[in-house]
Order: sequence, then structure tokens, then C-alpha cells
Amino acid sequence: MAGLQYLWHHRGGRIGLILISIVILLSIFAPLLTPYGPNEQIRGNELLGMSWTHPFGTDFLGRDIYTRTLYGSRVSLIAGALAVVLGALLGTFMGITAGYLGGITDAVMMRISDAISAFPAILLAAAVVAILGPGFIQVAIAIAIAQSPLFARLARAIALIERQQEYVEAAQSMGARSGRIMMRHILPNSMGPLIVQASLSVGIAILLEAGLSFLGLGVQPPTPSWGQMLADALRFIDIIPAYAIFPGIALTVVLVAINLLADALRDGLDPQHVTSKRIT
Amino acid sequence: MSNIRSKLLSSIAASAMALAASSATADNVLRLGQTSSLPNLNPYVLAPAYEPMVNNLYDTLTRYDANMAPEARLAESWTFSEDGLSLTIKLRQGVTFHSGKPFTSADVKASMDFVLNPDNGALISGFAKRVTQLETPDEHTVVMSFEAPFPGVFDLFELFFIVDIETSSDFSKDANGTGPFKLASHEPGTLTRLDRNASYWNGASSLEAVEIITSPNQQAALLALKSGELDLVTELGWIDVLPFSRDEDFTTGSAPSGVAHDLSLNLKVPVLQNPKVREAIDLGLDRERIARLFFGPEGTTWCLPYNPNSIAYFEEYDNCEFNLDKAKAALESSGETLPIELKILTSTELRTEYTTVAEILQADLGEIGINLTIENLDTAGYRAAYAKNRTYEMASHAFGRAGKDPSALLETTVVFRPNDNVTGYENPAYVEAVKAGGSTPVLEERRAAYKEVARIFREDRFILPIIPRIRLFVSQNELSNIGWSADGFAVFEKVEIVE
Repeated sequence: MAGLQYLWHHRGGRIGLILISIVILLSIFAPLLTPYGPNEQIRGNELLGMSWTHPFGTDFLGRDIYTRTLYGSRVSLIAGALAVVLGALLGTFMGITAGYLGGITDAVMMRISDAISAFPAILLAAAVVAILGPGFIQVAIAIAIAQSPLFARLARAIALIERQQEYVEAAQSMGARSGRIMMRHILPNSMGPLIVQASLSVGIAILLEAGLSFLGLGVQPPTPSWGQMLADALRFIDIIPAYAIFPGIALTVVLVAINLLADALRDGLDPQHVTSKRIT
Repeated sequence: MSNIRSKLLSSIAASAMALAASSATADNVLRLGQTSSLPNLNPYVLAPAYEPMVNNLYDTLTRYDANMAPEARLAESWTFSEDGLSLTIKLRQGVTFHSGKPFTSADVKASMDFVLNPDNGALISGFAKRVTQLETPDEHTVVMSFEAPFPGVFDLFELFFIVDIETSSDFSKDANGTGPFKLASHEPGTLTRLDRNASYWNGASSLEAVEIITSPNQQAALLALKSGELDLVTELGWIDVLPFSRDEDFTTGSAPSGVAHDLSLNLKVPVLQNPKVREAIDLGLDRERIARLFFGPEGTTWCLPYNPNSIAYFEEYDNCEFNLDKAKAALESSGETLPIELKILTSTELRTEYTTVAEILQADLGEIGINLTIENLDTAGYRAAYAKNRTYEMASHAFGRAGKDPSALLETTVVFRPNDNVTGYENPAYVEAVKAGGSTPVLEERRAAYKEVARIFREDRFILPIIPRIRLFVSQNELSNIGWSADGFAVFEKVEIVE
């Protein structure tokens, strides 16, 4: 609750919070906000322009673009959040283990992490999807793998500092096992920067999901996703510009909102950032 | 900063000039854009990517003209024996391969041997097996023998490209044909350049060269066409063509494609063995909508896998309809527990339209109690699930060899062949009828046999033809005389660029 209060008092955070809350509410209450189903094809109503009946027009199969944009937010938000949770779990585990244990474990974990981060995220995610096959969960896993090095590096850096702290030495002297020290002592002390990183990564994950869906590797038809809608719209952009404009606007709004939130969280939670602001 | 800006501006100007210089009118080079990559130069693969290449690098013995009559190409003349069991072909003399080697009957035999070798995976191998013996009495004569009369032999010739096998064993970089263009360079996935064959037997092309350029997607190709970077883009939907048809700088047109969409039903799936379920699916297939969506006013539907002018077409069996009430009634009388859960195989990567058909069908069949799950695989996965492992349940698919002699279609395509077809359909009457239709030159006998085939198609509904594809294309106005084979493969031999 204190976190929400902080965000509310941060100018950017407040805007981000309002925007993202609107998007989340729209996605939850989508069935109440439109008379159409996301996959409902209205025969004879293909490629209609904007009207009261179809505020954003209809697509090439006669589906309401407004409805699909609303439902598309579910895919973007859930895929983004799921990918970040998975990526954060994987990366944090790798980073804390590497930083705390050091030695060969550190070397192996970090080389794996370096190898993953050597590839552009979209390329790596596309390669993973090519192996796993297209689909919602596969896309989330692919994005998680692509994002895990960010968390691994951060968690490792924190673990390297924390393992030298007195409370860790105290736990060691009391016979606590490495796993317990990492989970109960180091991890809670790393949460601030990791949460900031996670908030930044949600935006990237949503963009990656849209990119993969645009390439046909993401969520599969007929499930609506903004990236896929943008890809479909390419062919019809001369006739129904709204086909591309509204999913594009929705994607932009979500990304702006998440970045504003992430900036606000960084201002509040990242000790390095707070310190550097005080110094300057 | 201003230095950087001026450098940037000059590079943009240089790029623009280079782009302008690369248009067809400037250097007499035809640039065709296609989205599928051309991995090698093997003319017997016959995948969509190969279509602009085959008739330009290679030649065939005959090629159908606009009236579907065989036209002499490397074969100068031909005569069937009285019993129809052999065909004597006199070859054109004075023809040379791109390497300069003279073309002889030995090359026809070598090409046929290559096609018949199962290791080479030639798509026409099944059809070519109808040629039981190929003799070469002299350098310019070929005699082909058949077990039974082979009325579809010219369909075979249409796709039987003559290759100098000795110098073309590695199709990844070699291609020695007798066609109007010869290979200049081949970079898979990027560009294939064919230069004019100055010593072509039918007169050298007025084009300097043809470049087949791989575009990342159709929209990129169309943008390149608009900017003048490309001269021709084919395989378009009507919605892609629409803006160009209103633009006086471009010419739009259509050609037959020899390909038709179908819905394949795997009869190894228990629920699909029920004829009433198949009837319900047929009644729930909105062919009109699909035709309109893909090809606008030029789209037509097919209930039988032939054009109305085919000898195998019978109006009384062209009787499919879209009626969800009847479909529901058929399903309810099937005795199956509803709803029925089925998967439909598609591949957006292979053809975007496969998935569109699947989406339409999913929505319509959902209304009558069949829940379709779309299984969208990559090209390799689709082919494995469809043709190799046959693990699909329903498949949105397209078959080739549509619109020519029915024997080619029915005897050789994996969808229709009587034995070992991908649907698992087995019926001795079908085997007999297909065989009868393809083994007699007598028209009445063939019509009778194909009438039986049409009846079986509409009664058993193991394969549901949907629409024939037409090849919509857009070209720069300067281009004229683009030719198309009966299969819709581009022929650039007579193309002219007029300023």
C-alpha cells in the first residue's frame, strides 16, 4: 500500500498507474464493453470503416477491431507479466547462485548468461519459438530466456556485495546452509533493484511478444494479439488505416505507462539511483 | 554535425540514384520479387519459390498454349502409335545447352532417369512412372512406351524440364538447361540472376537479364514495386492488387495458377470415418466467402477439383452448398457425441490463406457443434504432419496440377491418388474409375470413368475442394508480354520493356 502511495505521489508514476489501471480494467471487463466476441465473424461486414456499430472498423474476416483490441490487451499484459516472472526467477536463481557460491559455478552460470545476451533478444526469442513451436506459453518462455541475463547480472552483483556482509557471516557461523542463506537472507535484500528491473522488463517483454506475434511466431490465430493485428493490418492499411492505428496506439499507451511506472519505482526503490540523485 | 548531416544527405541521394538506376527501364533487367526463398535450382522440386525460375532456365518437350493444346518446344513433332501405347517424338535440332553442349535424345533419357530415381525426390516421379520404357533410336528421336494409353502425357511434359544432368548434379549452384536465360549467379534467400541466352533456339530475349529477388514479406515486395525497385510481383491477393489497379503507372492482371485450395480430412480419425460428419463439414464450408475474400470478384468456387471446361467436370455433381442448418441436422443425425473436438492443420508460413480458411471454418463449424483447434505449424512441421507422418486430423491445404488433364491430378497428387493418398481413403471403385479414366484415349470412355469419380467425390467427401487459385500480379507499365504456363509459372522469353 505504501508503494502505491509512493507511486501516486510521483508525477510520472501517477500517470503510469492511471493508464495501466485503465488498460487492466478494460482487459478484465472487455466482455461488458463490447457486444461482440473477439473471434466473432460477421459475414458480409469485412473491412468496414469506423462507425457507431464498429468504432474501430472490422478486419478482413468481419471481426470487430475494437473488440479484438480490448481482448488483445489480455495477451500482451499476461504474456509480458508471465515472461518477466519466469525470466526473473531463472535469472535471479542463476545470479544469486553464481554470486554467492563463486568459483566454477560463477564462471559457468555467467558464461551461459553471456552466451544468451550475445544474441539480440528478438532473434533469440524467435529461435526459441522455432524450437518450441508457436504459442502463448512458448512465447513467454522464449522471452523469459532472452531476459534472464538482465536479472542474472543484477542478482549476481548484489550477491557479491551481500555475501560479505556481517549478517551473512553470522548465518554461516551458525551453520546455515548455502541455499537457506541465499533464499532467506540475500534474496530479500536484493528485491528492490530486482523489482525495478522487472518493471522495466515488462515493457520490453510486451514489445517482444508483439514483435513475435507480428512475425507469426507468437500467439496463434484466432486469439487476438496486438502484434498479430498489426501484421494483418499491413495488407489493408490503404483501405482501413484504423486496423493498424488502434492496436498501435494501445501498444504505445501500455509501453508508456509501464515505463513511467518503472521510472517511478526506480526513483523510489533503487538505492544507487536515489544516492546518485542526492549527490547530484 | 553539419558535416555528418551532409554526408548523410549525400548517401541518401546516392542510394536514391542507385535505386533509380536499378529499375527495369534503365538497364533492361526484369526484377521479380517473391517472398519464398529459392534454395536451389532443381526444377523438379516444383515448390512455389521455383515457379519463376523453371520455364526460364529450362525447357520442356511441349508446353500448353492458351487453348490447352500442346505446343512444340524441344519436341518438334510427335506421333502416337495406333494402340496408343507408344509415342515417338522428333526432337528439335540445333539446340544447345547453356554450356554449349548440343541437346540430344540422350539428355531426355538422362532427365527421365533422374526423375524416376526415388533418391532425387522429383515431384512428378509418380506420374513419370507411366512411361515404362524410353528408347533413343537416334540423337533426335525419343520413343516412349506406356502400359496403357496415356492421355495425360502432355501434362507430364509440361513439368518435365530437360536438364544436362552431367553438369547439373549439384543444383545448389549449377543449372545447365536450354532455356531462354542462363544462370549468372545464385544466392539462396537473396537473389538469383539469370542472364539472356544469346543463342536461344527460339530467338534471344530482348531482356538483358532476369533477377529473382527474395523479399521479406509481400508488403515489402509491394513497396519495392511502388518505389520502382521491383518490376513484377506475383501471388497476390485481390486486396493487394486493388490500389495498383487504380494507379496508371502499373499493370494488374491474372493468370491461372494450377493450384486449388482444399480441405483434407484424415479418415484414420474415427469421427471422420462417419459420412454424416463429413457431410456436415462440407455443408459448413463457406466456399463463396473464401473465394470473395481471396480473389474478390474474380474468385470462383469448386466442389469438384476441376474447371467447368474439364472432361471430368459434371454439373450435376457440382452441387455443394453452404448451409449451417443442414450441417447441424447432418451432424445431429451422425450419432456422434457433440461437441466434436477436432484439430485443423495449417501453416501461415507456407500460405497465409491456409490459416484464413482454418479461421473461417473454425467460426462456422463452432456454430454447429464441431470445435476446431487450429494447429499452425512451420513449413517443415506442416509437411511432416500432412504428407509424411499423416498425423493431421483436418488440413487446410492446396493441391497442384489443377485445371489440366484429370489423370495427372488423380493419379499423382498425394491428395487424390487412389492408393496411399494422404486422407487414407480406400475404395476399389475409385481405384478402378481413376485407372479407367487415365488409360484410354477415347473421350466417351474417359467421361464415363470420370463421372464415376465425380460421384464418389461428392458422396464420400474425403477431400473437399474449395476454390481454384488465380495468380494475380502487378507489374510496372513498361513491361509487356509476360507469359504464363498452364500451371501459372512465369515465362519471360518474350517480355519486352518499352520506355
